[in-house]
Amino acid sequence: MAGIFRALIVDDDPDLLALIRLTLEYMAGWQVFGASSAAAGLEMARDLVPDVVLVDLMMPQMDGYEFGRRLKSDPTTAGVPLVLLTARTELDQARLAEAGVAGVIFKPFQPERLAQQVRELCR
Amino acid sequence: MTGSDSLEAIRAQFAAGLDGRIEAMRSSLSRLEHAFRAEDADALSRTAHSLVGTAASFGAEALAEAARELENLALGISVGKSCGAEERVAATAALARIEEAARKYQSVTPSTEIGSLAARMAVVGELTSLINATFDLQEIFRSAILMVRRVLDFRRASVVLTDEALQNYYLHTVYDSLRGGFLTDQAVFSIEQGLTGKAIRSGQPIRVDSLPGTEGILSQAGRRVSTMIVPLRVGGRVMGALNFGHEDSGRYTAEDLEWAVVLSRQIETALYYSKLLNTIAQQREDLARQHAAVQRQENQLEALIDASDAAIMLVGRDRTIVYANAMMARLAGIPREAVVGATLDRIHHLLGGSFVDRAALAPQETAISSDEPLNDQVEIAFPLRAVCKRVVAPVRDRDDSLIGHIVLYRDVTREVEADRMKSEFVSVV
Repeated sequence: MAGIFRALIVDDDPDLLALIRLTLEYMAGWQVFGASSAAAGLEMARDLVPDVVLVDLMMPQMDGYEFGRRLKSDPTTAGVPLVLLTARTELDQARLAEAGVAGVIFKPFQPERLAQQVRELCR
Repeated sequence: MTGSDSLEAIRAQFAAGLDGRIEAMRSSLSRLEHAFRAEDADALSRTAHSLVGTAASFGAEALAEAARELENLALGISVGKSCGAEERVAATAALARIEEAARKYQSVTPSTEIGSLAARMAVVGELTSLINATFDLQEIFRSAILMVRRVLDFRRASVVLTDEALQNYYLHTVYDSLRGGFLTDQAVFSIEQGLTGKAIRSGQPIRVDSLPGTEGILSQAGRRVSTMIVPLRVGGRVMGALNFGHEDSGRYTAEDLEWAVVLSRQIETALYYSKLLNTIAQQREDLARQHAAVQRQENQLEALIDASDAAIMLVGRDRTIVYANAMMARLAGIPREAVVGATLDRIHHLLGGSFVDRAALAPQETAISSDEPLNDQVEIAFPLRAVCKRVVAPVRDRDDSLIGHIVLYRDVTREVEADRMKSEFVSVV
């Protein structure tokens, strides 16, 4: 399946996870993998080394900042672009920088623009 | 199934799941009304926050706005560490607005025909890709249950696994839509108990249209409920079961059960790979333990050799020095680090210079070349004049294959001198 853009979505909200998965699979033709917790997401990121990881900021146990910090501190996944998904408008810039975030997409996202937004942030 | 159909299905799933979200927020708020607990305030703000982002992405703006209001109130309660009368009234009102907005959203969201064959096959396909990409059993089961929600109506779904002895089964993953989603309930049951135990014992799927509800089964005491239980097998052995329950009677058809069996075959694949990975991990651990044991033996051997006052070296099959102690290094006249790894020819060349008669080296060379043991005495002049007992012996593995030679020089000058004096004494007497 070389050449297909592969995205990993990490979000504890199953409905949003399904919506993003569907949006990116059908509208952009990406191969999308989903994880419902940050811990599972880190494990999957190590196994898959996807082209991009989209992670929800507010998750129980481990938030998106900490997820990013761990993703970037692992040599296997350090080079994977990370995009943060959030409904919050106030962000901790220091923690954003520490998490090595390529960009932020604010909820609600526009399904038809989501793939393009992610691509632009990963450039 | 097209993308548009799928989107409608997910939208319908979101709409149907709103009741569960509202119930979860109501429960948190209800607990806060009795007493402040940080985890309840946190749960309330998280559930509301989750709804804000998701509802807005599904185009439910009014719902998102009401949820944001409740999230802010919950954050205030969390920061203030109390839930006073004013906060309670405001939060209850916000929750009522959420409920109202949810009803409006549900009324305009067409409920898709749940359980079409195409939709169900799509779920099986998604599950296959999930299994290929995920090695975490919990994640597989959770994702599988969420996927199934799109095509099968249930209130409660669970995966149970049996213990090795096949005496008990325990809850592994539990989902209850009216209790806020996945639960962390832990329970162990005898396989002699209940319908699940019966399915595990018989290895046959079970569908019951009208089961008496109890506190333990969907909390519907006094009502009739529906359930489907499909055993999961790995390597021909029942390892657990997949359960679905609905709080109404007569909810599941024969087709539902057939599809649940197809689904369980996919989950069995997940179990198989998980087991395979565990086996590989176990083997790796065993190898690591064996390696550590060998390392300990090597360390003990090296310590013994180092503690000896004899000069000792181990020669590998490739005629390089595998190990040598400090005494051997002194005998060779070079640092120990230079002895280890050196060729036998080089060490023999150096040792030859230590002998009173260089020709005494020849039997040693012959013994090593022919794998014959050697046990004799030699006189050395360096680093001090001495008589040494020399032992050369082949070292063999358990299967008798040659792994090298041990060469040992022990200073027996005093014994030789004592023997000589004894002989002289005897001859004088």
